[in-house]
Parts: sequence; structure tokens; C-alpha cells
Amino acid sequence: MGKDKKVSVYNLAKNKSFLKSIILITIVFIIFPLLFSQTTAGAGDLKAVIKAGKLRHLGIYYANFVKKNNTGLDVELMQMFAEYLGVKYEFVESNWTDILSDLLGKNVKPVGDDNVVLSGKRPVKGDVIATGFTILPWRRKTVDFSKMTFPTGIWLIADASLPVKPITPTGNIQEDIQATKNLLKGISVLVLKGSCLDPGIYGLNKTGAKIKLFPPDHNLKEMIPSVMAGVVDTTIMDVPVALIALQRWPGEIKVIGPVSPKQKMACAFPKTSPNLRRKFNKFLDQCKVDGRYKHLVNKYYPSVFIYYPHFLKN
Amino acid sequence: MHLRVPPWLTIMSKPLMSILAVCLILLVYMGFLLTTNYKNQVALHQSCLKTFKLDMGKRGASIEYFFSERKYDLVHLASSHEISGYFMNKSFGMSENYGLKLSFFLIKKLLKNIILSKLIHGREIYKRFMMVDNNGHCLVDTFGGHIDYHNFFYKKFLSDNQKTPEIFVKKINGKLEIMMAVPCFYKNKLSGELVAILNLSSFAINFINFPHSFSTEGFELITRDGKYLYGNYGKISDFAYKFRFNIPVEKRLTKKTLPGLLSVHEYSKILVAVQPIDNAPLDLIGWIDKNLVLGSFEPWKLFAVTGIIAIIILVSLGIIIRINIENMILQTRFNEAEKQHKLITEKNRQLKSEIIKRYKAEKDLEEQRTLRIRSDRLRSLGEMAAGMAHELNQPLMGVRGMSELILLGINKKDSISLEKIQRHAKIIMEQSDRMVHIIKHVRLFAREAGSIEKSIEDLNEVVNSGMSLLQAQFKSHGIALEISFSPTPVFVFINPFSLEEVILNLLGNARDAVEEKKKISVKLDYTPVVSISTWYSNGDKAMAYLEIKDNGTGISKDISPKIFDPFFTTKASDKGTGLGLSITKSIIEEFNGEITLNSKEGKGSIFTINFPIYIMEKTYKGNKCIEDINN
Repeated sequence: MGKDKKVSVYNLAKNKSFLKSIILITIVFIIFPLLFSQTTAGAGDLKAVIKAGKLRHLGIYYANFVKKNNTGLDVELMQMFAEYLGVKYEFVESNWTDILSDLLGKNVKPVGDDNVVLSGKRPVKGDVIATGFTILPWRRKTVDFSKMTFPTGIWLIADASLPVKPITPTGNIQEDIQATKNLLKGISVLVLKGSCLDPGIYGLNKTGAKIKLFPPDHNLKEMIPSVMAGVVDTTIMDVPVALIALQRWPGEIKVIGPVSPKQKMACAFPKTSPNLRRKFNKFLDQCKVDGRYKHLVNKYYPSVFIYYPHFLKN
Repeated sequence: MHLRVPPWLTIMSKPLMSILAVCLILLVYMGFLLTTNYKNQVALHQSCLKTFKLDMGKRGASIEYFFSERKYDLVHLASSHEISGYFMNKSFGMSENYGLKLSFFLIKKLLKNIILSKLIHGREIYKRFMMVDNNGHCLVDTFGGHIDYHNFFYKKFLSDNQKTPEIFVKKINGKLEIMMAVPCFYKNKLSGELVAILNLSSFAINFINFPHSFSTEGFELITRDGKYLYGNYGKISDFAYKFRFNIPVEKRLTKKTLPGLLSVHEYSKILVAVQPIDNAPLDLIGWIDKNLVLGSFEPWKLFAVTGIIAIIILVSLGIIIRINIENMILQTRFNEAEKQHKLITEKNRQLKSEIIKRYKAEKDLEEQRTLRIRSDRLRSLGEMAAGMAHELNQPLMGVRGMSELILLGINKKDSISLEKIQRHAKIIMEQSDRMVHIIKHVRLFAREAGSIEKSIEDLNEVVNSGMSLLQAQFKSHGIALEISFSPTPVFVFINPFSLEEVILNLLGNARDAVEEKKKISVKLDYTPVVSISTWYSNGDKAMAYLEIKDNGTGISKDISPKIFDPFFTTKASDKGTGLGLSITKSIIEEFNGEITLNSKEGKGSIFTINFPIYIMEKTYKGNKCIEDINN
């Protein structure tokens, strides 16, 4: 009986076509996954991060969220998160245009006000985006956001000498937004496409304002100086950044009014990393409870509590 | 100019003078100390007052400087870019909802930093800051609690014309607080006020509680209109503490006539000074125990005490001087006595030495005298022996004669009758007895002469016995011896042999005198006569007399007084010792007798001896002398 089995296997091996099938299957089931494992391994969930032994933080040097010399609110937050996971921390610099692509491993292109197109393939460079990232509808379609990390909004900032008076608050944000927009006719406004400063999000294109696009490869911190330099009349800016600018350049700039209601900033995770996101939320809650997060906010954005005194409670 | 030195000073010793000098210097020094002490006390009081005033002035100046610094703080704050930024943003038309709140945040942050950073001795200077707009609405309040905009506390404190900071005191929540306010300008337009409330306890700890120069100092800070703010009373008495509330306000205030002038008010037990604070509506009041500053030295007490001490010193000094003087006197006397003692001791020693010498001399003299007396006695004995030889010669002749007769008779074969032999033998016996008597007498004389043992003797018998020894000699020398005795016995209390010695001596001298005269006499009919007689008298004093008279050379008047002196003699040294008459006199005086000389040179001498008579009474045993009839 044993002799018979040996003979039958030997006989099969002699069959060339059978051999070819085996090889093909092997390639399909072994090699291909190996070839494509980079995509699935780059945007790894919690296990993958832990297995990789590092957390890759995607960030853009932006205000006090991500600063050079490895500091910033989001930088320290991610460092604490990495420590929480027990992995190393790694910062990966990106820009407003590519940051989602770097996270997802695909080309991400917003279309219109709230649509986005994913195409192609590209290397995944990070596991999480934390860079003063505003939660926008079109971004939600591509990533999952964590719990709010920071409150924000968009104000219209003008040079102090611009003969446009700030609005008188009505107490209703929508009315205030409208009042602000009403002042934009013929006024140049500096914007940044594909970010929270995209004019399309706020309908600025319909205000009669002269929309000026800020080069995406430039640092956002140059937007307000452009206003002061008279390159443009106004710019829209995140409230936290505006507040810093007002501190930095008192009497040089003024806030005309809001162009957006209250917004939120959060960390972005690939939709394929729910566990990692959940882990981060848990971590964030813990930080809020034990005061570490408040300490971070006070360190980088102490003035945020002026306008958002209860954001940590939410 | 002769300076009269008190006698007591002259006898003071150097140590005492030194003590006196030291005490005087001490007194002067005490006076000096007294004066300087008084002056020092005055100076000390002035110094204390000055220190107190300086302390007050210093504190006041410190407080003024403090407020100046605070004003500077406020001015600096009012012009800070945070506050300026607010006004700018406000002027831009920015609203609190959109940007202006940041200015409040920054201003509050700035003011909180000021509170935390402005410290005095580790304590916060400022308690609270507020920024108020022109309508008195509070824009910023560093107070952490809820801001009540309807709180009347929030208002404008400065007038519209006020351009400089001002310090004032306001009641907040029932408590007076020191506040400061400075106007905030924007583009030369009054835009608001910056108000600060000072931390009174920090201020007080530093300026009121700060270590005092004196433990009895106390300080208080009051408002210009007399309201109490803060006080520290030190260790002043309860009186002063209570008194502080009783000082009328008008007295507690002072009108400043000159800047920084300190006015000092004097009350019962405390001194109060008021130091106005120039740049604040405050006064600093200081208290001090009055005694500490104006002194409780009570000079009269000092004088009294010093005077008492001086008196004590002077009295002590006087006592010391007196004691010293007395000691000096005693010492001097002691020294004198010591000297005298030494002198006396020396003299005693010399005297003793002389006494010893004298004793020796007297002893020698006595020995000599004894020798001379012995010699004289020997001479007397010799005299006596010579006399005795004469006396013995006769009986010996008789004995020889008779013996020859007896032998002749026997040899011749005559028949010498027995009766003749008996007669001759009897004569021999008598002569032998006579010789025995003579020898016995001489033996007794030799033994007893000079003895002081006395007995009642018949003067006649004693004279006879003594005379008998020289009777034969006198006869052989051709000297007539006349005897005249008292018919009745004359009893005297004497030593017979000593008297015999006297008689021998006097008879011997009489013999020598008559023999001398015989030698030199040119008269051929000179007959040397010596007479001896006894008698008695019954006068006032019954006396027995013995007289020995001669018609010899006599004794001159200049020699007579010395005749009884020992060792005085007119004879050659081999003939006489000069002791005979002195011994004679001493023997006679021994028997309570007396010897006198009546002599005339060339005529002769009479020696008269008298003794007290003793009566005899017949008793059944025989005669017995009872007593000297004079006694």
C-alpha cells in the first residue's frame, strides 16, 4: 500500500501541467500578497503599529500644532500616544496637498465642496494625521476622525488699515457669517485650496470677493504676513492661529468677522484602523481627565479658552 | 611763703598719702562721671529721640518710595502693549466675540504675572488688579471669582482730568484697602483706568512690623482723615496701647509746614510722632515709651546717689586717715618703745654685765675683804698670838720655875718637903690652868670671832677677857693700860668674841698710835697711856658704853670721816689692811651699837662704843635677860 502511494505522487510530479498549476497557485496566493503587503502593512491598524514597533505621525508644520524642533501640541500628543501604545514615535512631515494621500496610500483629490476622489497608489507614510486637522465633510469620506482634539473656526483677518470695519456681533453665528461675507465684495481674500481654508467650504466664491490662492507648498504662517504686507486685503484663518497672530501682531491686523461656524479639529485615522482610532480616543479621554491634555493646550494655545472655555468638557 | 602743713599730714605715711590721693582723684572722677553721665543721658535721650525720628523718617521715606514704585508699576502697565493693543483693537472696531477677548486675556495674564512677580520679602505686593473702562465697567479683573458687573465697586476712581496715578483708600467689603489707579490713554484720550489693590498685610509686615529700634516702639498706619488701617504696638505698656485710641484726631494729624517734617507730641507716658506720607493720603504714627526717649534718669537721684557715695567715701577716708594716724602714732610709740626697750635691754645687758662685773668685783672684794678680814683677823690673831705669847710666857716661866725648884730639890737630895712640892705643884697647876684658859680663849676667839651669834654678856667681862690678851704685851711695850669698869655688870646682847676682836683692834690701834707718838715725840716724859672703861647711862635711852682712849698721835680732821671706810689706812701696807675699823664698825652695828671717834691730832683719840642695855631678872633658874630695857 505504501509503495502504491509513492508511485502515485511520483506519477503526478511527472505530469507537467499539474506542475504549472501548482506554481501559478503559489504565485497567486503567496507572492502577490507579498507584493501588495506594503499597502496593507503601511496603513496598519493597532496590531500592525504595535508589531511595527512605531507610530508614524503625519504632520505639517503649522502654527503651534506642529512646530519644528519636535514640539507642538499635536507632536506632544502623538508622542504621549506612542508611549501609551508602547511603541516608538516617528514624525513624518507632509503638506496640505499630500497628507491624506500619505495616510491612505492613494491619491486623494477633493472635488467641489464636499467630494473627494481616491486614485492610484502611493506609499503610506504615516499611521495617523495630527496637525491641527479640521474635520471637514469631504475629509470624513476618506478618513475616520478621532474625538475632537481642538475647537476652531474660521475668521476673516484683515490688515488694520483696511477700511473695512469689523462686524458688530449679533449673537447669531450665521448672521455674523453673513455679515462678514457681505463685506467681502471686491475685497481680496487669501485662501488655501484643499484645506480648512478652502473657500469652497465657506461659499466665499459667491461673495464677490477676489479669491487669491495661497501656494500649497508655502507655509500657512505666511498667510497673515501677506495681508500685513498688503499682498492681499484679507485672509481667512483658523481661530487658534488668528489668536496667535493677534498676539504677535497687535495693532497690525484685525478680525472682521467669522466665515464659518464652530469647527472641530481632530486626528485622522485610515478607515482601516478602527482599533487604532479607538485606542486613541481612549487615550485622549484619559488625557483630558487627568489634565495632561489641558496642560498641553495651556502650553501651546492658552488663549483658546477665551473663546472655547468648555471645549475640554465636551 | 611758708606753707603750713597740718600736723596730721606730716605724720602720714606714703601709703596713706597715696590712698588719700586716690580717694581725692576718685571723688573728682566721680564728679566727672556724674557730669558726663548726665550729659551722656541727655545725649542718649537726644539720640533715642533722634533714632526714633530717624526710624519714623526712614519708614516714612520707605513707604513713600514704595508708593512711588507702585505708581511707576501702574504707569508702566497702563502703557503696556497688552493694554495698548486692547485699545487699538477696540479702536479698530473689533468685538469681544471676535478677537477683543484675547486682549482681555493678555491683559489679565500680564496683571497676574505682575501680582506673582512683584514681591516684597517674598510676599505679593498686589492683591488684585482691575481694568475699568470709562463707564466704570470692569474689563479685566484678576480676582478669580465671578465678576459682578453690577457691583458698585466697579467704577471710575479718577476724575477725567487726572493724568497721574493716584493712591487712595476705599472701603471694600467693609474693609479699608489701599488702592491705586492710573488713567489709561489711547491717542491722548482717556480710555479707561487700571486699578490695583495693594496687599495691606505684605505692606504692613514690611513697613510696620519691621524690626523696631526699640522694643517699646509701636507704629500705626492711618488715613489722612484719621481712620485706622494697620498697627503694631511693640511692647509698649497697656497704657500706651489704650491711650492710642484716646488721642484726638486733630492731635494725631499734623500740618505739614515743611516736606517730611516730623511732628512729635508728648503725652503722659508716651511720645507720639506723626510722619505724613507725601505721595499717599496716609500718615505713619509712631509710639515710644516716653521714659526711654526723654529719660527717667531723674538727675536728682543720680546726684543723691553719687553724693551718698561721695560722703561714704569721704567718711571712710576720714576714718581710714584717723585710724592710720592713730596707727602711725601707735607705731611711732611702739617704735619708740621698741627703741627704748632695745636701749633698756642694752642697758640692762650692760647693767647686768656691770652687775656681774660688780658682783664679781664685789665677790672679789668680798673675797679680798674676807681675805683682808681674814688677814686682819689673822693679824688680830697674830696680835692675839703675840699677846698670847706674852701672856703664856709668864705662866710658863712660873711652871718652869716651880719645876726647876722641884727638880733642884729632888736632885740636891735636900729634903724638899712634901708641902713645898705640893705648893710648887699647885702653882704649876694654876699656871697650867692659866695657860689652858689662855689657849682655850684664843681657840674660841679664833673660831668665834666674826660670828653673829649673840648672847647676853656682861660687858665688863668681855672687855676684861679681851683686854687680858694684850695686857702683858702692853706691859712689855711700856704702855700703861688703865682699866675702869662699871661697878655693876652691864649686860649687852652681843657675841663676846666678836667684841673681843673689836677690843683687840681698838687696843691695837691705840698701841700703835702711842708707840708712834713715842717714836716721834721729842718729850722725854711722854708716857703712852691707853685706857679702857665701861659704864652705862639711864637716860632716855639706857645705853652701855665702852671707851678706849689713848694719848697717841691722834687723827687729823680730814682723815677722821674716812677712818671707818674699808681699806682706808694710814699705816704701811704690811702694818695694816685698812679693814680693822670698818670691821669693828660693822660688828658693833651688828649688835645695834654705835662707835664714834673723838680725836685730836697730836693729842690722842677716843673711841666710844655704846650698846643698848639688856636688863636681867632673877628667875628661879638664875639670871635671865628678858629684854632690852629700851624696848
